[in-house]
Amino acid sequence: MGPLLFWILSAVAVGSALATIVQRSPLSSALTLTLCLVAVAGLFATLSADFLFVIQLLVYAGAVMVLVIYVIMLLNLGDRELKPLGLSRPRTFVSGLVGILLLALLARAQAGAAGISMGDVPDGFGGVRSIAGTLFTSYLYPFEIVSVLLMAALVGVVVLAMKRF
Amino acid sequence: MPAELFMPFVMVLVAALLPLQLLPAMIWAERKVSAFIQDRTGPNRADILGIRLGGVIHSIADVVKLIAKEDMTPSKVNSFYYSLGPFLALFISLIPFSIIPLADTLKIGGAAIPLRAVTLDVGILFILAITSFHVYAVVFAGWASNNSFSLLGGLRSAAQMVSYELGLGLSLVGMIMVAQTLDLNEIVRQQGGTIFGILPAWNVFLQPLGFLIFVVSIFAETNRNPFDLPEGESEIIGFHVEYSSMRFAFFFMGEYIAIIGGSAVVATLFLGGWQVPFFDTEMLRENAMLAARIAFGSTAALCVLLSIILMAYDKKLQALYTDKRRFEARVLLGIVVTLGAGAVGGLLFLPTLSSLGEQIVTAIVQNTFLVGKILLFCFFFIWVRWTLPRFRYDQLMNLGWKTLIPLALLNIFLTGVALVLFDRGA
Repeated sequence: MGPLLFWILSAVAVGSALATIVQRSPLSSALTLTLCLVAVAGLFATLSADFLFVIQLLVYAGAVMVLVIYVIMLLNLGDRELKPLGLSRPRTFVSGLVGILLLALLARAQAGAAGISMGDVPDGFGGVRSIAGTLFTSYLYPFEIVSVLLMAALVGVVVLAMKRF
Repeated sequence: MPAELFMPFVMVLVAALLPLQLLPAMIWAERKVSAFIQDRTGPNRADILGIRLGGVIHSIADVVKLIAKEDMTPSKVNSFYYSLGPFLALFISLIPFSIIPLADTLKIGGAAIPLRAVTLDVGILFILAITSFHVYAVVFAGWASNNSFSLLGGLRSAAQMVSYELGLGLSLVGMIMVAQTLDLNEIVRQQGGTIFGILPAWNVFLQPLGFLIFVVSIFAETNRNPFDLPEGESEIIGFHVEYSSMRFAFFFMGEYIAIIGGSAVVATLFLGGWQVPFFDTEMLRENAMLAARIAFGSTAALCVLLSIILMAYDKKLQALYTDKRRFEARVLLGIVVTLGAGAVGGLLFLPTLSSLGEQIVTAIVQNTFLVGKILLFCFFFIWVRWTLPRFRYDQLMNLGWKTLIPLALLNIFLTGVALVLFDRGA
């Protein structure tokens, strides 16, 4: 059951990610991106990372993508505004370079994971309790710094919006 | 163990069918309660062979009408997104039932069998995640219809849902702090027992403010009156103006299933879920024989009562009509008498229950209480709809952002203070 689910979800994720970048209509791109995020959430679920599965659905598919689609609809782009897909030379070069680098990174991660045993996970793995325990003990300072960053972003939004009204 | 293998499939089926079973009852109740509140009779004409069942048959007439209508797709719409909207609306509203525990976990031969389709430790977050998906259905329907009113309705609705999701999530934080878990069955189990020996220890008594905010937010999330602005007929017609036939019906069904689902979530989180007040699972299992006897006995008593009412009704019908409507009460009387005879038979020939039988009886009793709580809250939804007028849009946004969210934050603070003072967290 596990490998089958993995292959199906991976195929959906990769296919929809591809569809996101090749489609012209921004709304279709957003929808396929949502599908990709949901498929990745499914992959988290098969890895018994329950908390990440739900957070992926809640934050990315449920909140971020809804806002993206909301904005796309408000813009109401017609056929005239949408330029055909063109690949200029520098853009192709940069994207290709980034792609190769990412692939190298993945290969390195794969090589690093070779020695790790794939036994059963301990009880409560990937649940709220274990993640919260790690987050609020070992990684407390990074967590607090990130929250300050988010706070700054929020204040920035308020300042930007204040000028208009 | 075979039960472990097939029970998840059975539970998925139950989780899908329970709301679909409650749906026609809900629509009938909406009509009858609205009629009662406005001092009317309500639907009572549609019949099959003279049997009207006080308007229940009207739901069948509705379904026939909706299926038989022409299913139109306007020529200038984006047909993929146009079809996606109603399907999403129905599908997403069905999902929360997969996670609601229908009764306490069964124990068969050492194996625990949870009576819910999906066993997830983070049940509350999953419900919040699925709630946020409702926006897609509304937004796609509104945008794909290629109609300014639809788009306006869809955007309004999306803004409303996104705004009230914040209140929905924050109102639960206090409850999670008290419960110390996100698992729904565990939360229900903690709501057993009593406070001061009088009140059942339901979260509604521990978290009254959180309950209030959650209920108001659920009303807004399900687009129900007094927050039914997405469909405000007098201003804009709403995101489903271009839909007809079954695709319109899907929105309609999705809305009602969302109401039933919202009631189920409220019942589970705040009203004790499957907990029978004052009787915990062990007590029920020990007294399963007595519980079964009471269930059969009360069914029989109810049947006797119904028979008396039906006999009086029959006398009235005989005096009023000469056509086949005369026989309605007699047919119903036959059904009620058969049911009552079955109940009496069950009462007389009840075998001594095995351990498994005791657990099943307990599960049935607990499930009956859960469904009862769900129906009670559904009634509350209908009651509010026909009592309160609709909010204006700015009032709606002010209520959501400037009242509910600060109140929810206050609730978190108060809960934290209470936990520190009474030392429950440590």
